[in-house]
Amino acid sequence: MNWGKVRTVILKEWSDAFRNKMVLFSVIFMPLLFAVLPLIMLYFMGQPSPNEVSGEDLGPFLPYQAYFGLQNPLHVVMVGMASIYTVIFLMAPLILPMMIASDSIVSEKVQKSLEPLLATPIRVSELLLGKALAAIVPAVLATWLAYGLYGALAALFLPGPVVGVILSLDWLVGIGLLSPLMGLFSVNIGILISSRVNDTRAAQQIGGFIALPLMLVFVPMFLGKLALTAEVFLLGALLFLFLDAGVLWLATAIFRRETILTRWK
Amino acid sequence: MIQTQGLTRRFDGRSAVEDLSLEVREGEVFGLLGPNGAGKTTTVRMLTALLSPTSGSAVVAGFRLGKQNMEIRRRVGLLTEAPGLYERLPVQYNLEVFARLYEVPEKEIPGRVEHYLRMLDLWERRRDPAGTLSKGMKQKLAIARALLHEPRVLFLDEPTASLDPEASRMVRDFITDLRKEGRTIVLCTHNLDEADRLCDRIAVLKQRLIRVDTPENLRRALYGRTVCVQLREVRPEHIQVVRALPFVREVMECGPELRVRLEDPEEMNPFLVRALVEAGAEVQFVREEEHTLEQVYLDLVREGKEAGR
Repeated sequence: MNWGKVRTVILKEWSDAFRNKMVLFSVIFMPLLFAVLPLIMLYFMGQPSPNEVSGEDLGPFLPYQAYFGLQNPLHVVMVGMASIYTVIFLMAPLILPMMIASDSIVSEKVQKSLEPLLATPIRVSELLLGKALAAIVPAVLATWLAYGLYGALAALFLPGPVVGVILSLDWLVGIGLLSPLMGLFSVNIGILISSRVNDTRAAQQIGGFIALPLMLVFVPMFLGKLALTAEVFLLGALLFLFLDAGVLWLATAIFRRETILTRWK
Repeated sequence: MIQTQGLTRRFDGRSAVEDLSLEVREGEVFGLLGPNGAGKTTTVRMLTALLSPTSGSAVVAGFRLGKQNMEIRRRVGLLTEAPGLYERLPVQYNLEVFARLYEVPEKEIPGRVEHYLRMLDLWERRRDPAGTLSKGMKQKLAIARALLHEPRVLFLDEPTASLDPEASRMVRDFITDLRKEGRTIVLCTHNLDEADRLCDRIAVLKQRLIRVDTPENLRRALYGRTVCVQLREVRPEHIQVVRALPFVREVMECGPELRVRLEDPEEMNPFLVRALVEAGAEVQFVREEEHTLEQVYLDLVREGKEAGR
């Protein structure tokens, strides 16, 4: 692996993609939206008097009461909702890289730049890794920054127990470790799919179907059946580490220069 | 510099290139001519290690296709039919990216990029996005990109296609300069006049190799040489006299002209003219008929089509 060439591909991808204002806007604006909207909702949720939420209304949020040892029913609901909203930051790297990756493939297609690129002595693995990292790194950085902003604003405007959940070690592990690995998985799957189909839009749609089951993992959490602890996130991170390595290996094994040349045109 | 032996490529059972055996010598400009779908681009893609052959073998710049593809890519430059530039990126950055991918030493990149940009009159536009250049300038930039790593063989696929006459001339002049530097160039073109002017040898393809030779030899092989003698008045006895000459292969009357096919006009024309004058003909002009490469090409492709039936 020639890391200099991987770096060249990454820097080229960024220079090219971020000149597209739509991509730049999406990568900056979407995470900001993720950071601010839940806070607004949580802030207004905290406005009614504690009497308006009773212990009987807790329903699916009951496990949060026990897990975090909270007395105030409103705080229990807010903590439950904050946990659900924070999942967005786990999911963001599944969505955001698609903006860069699809722009990268579409622009190569429009500019007919793949053939000269593939005529250079770059290995297919270097090209694919460069494209995958170029898509995932800004998405992860944007997610982390947005999560930082979300945490900072929460500390300013939300009650202590809610801030404690948002900035808990559990979520730091989840967003710091699991979310980039999940994002890398989604990008590699996208690349793998694009080797099998002729149409970039078809690749994106199939990629969406692949990302969907990943989101289903969180359904037990929404139903109060699964607490997302640091251990769960670590286990998930380990699983995705193996999955990422496997998918990257598979993508490199399946991809040939002529596959890219004839499929990505 | 390039040798191919039985090179064949099929797509889903359909043959794009069939049993192609040819040799390109060092320092020559070698033309690949053929109608659309004749396999020119597929041949170039195989020889630049972009497509693998279904069967057959090739050696490019001393390296075996299939086994030493990376070495081949390091030593060949490719100008694709479309320039394929990163249109949003500056002109200079387009070249820098490819210089790095072609493994040009980092400290040599600025100098080399500047050299080619100045050589091609693009230095003043170096900070502009490549998409803002004219078609001719884009093509020159794409040629510069193919030359950055000083390749031993340069493949040019339709370098003047879709360019206006001025831009085409600009690109042709540049190819002439490269030829003077002694580079080996493989040129795919539809422009027969361009092939005639630039190429040392030409291969006519239609899936298979139909013929390969110099443009001049291709003309001679197909038509021999024809001398046109214009007379004040053509009479039947003039035709009979010429037909009786032992070195004449064929005589045709074309208005005031006699078209005479013979082997060696430089040696035989004086005898031909003398015979006509002695027969009472008044000779006004004598010239050799030029067969255009277009005629040669069309006849060869037709011949190939008939042979393929």
